[in-house]
Amino acid sequence: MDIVENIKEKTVTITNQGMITIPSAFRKIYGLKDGDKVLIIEDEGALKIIPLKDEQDLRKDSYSTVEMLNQMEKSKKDEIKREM
Amino acid sequence: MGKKSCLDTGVITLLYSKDPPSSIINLFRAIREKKIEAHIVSPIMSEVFYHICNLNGKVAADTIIATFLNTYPVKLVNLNQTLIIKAGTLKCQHYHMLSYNDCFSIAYALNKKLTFHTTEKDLDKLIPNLKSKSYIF
Repeated sequence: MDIVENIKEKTVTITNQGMITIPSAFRKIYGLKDGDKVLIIEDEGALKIIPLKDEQDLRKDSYSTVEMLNQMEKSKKDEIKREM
Repeated sequence: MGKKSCLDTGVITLLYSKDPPSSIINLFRAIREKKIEAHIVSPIMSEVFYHICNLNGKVAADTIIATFLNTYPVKLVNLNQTLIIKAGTLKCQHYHMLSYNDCFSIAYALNKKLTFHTTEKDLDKLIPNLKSKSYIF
């Protein structure tokens, strides 16, 4: 069993300067390292932390331009059809 | 600050394709270098989220939206009464061709006299007084 893969929650303490530590297991899973930035947003009464990534990394697992254009075109046609 | 422009969903979404076209890369380089001042009507970003979520999942969509908005110096535009009425009018006139988000962005571009950067074809024929730059692939 891989403990890192199964971690679901961890309690951390806010320091007197308002800082928290992201547990190392989460840092490993989300590839967070020293100097990385994250965005903190409110989500239905909870705080959500979203890591900011390098654009090249974000494109690696994405779809091709043609596939994305096809998806957008189909989606627009469906939307207009629903509204008519 | 350089030329003012308004961005549609397509150009932003394609920036995060596996093989973004050079014209899209160049557009966003100019935005990053503040040679172009980019305006985006807020609901457009939700549509970008939807397309990426549909293809790559919610985690990818969260990360891409957060990264985009914190990387590029874009101006997010909220809806107001002027935009609501202008966009509604466009929807009435072109309901079979334009989505609501198209209407919001085009209304804003027309009112502010901005160049509309889009992946839509034939917008210039549909709305002749719109200044647009089409990215066709």
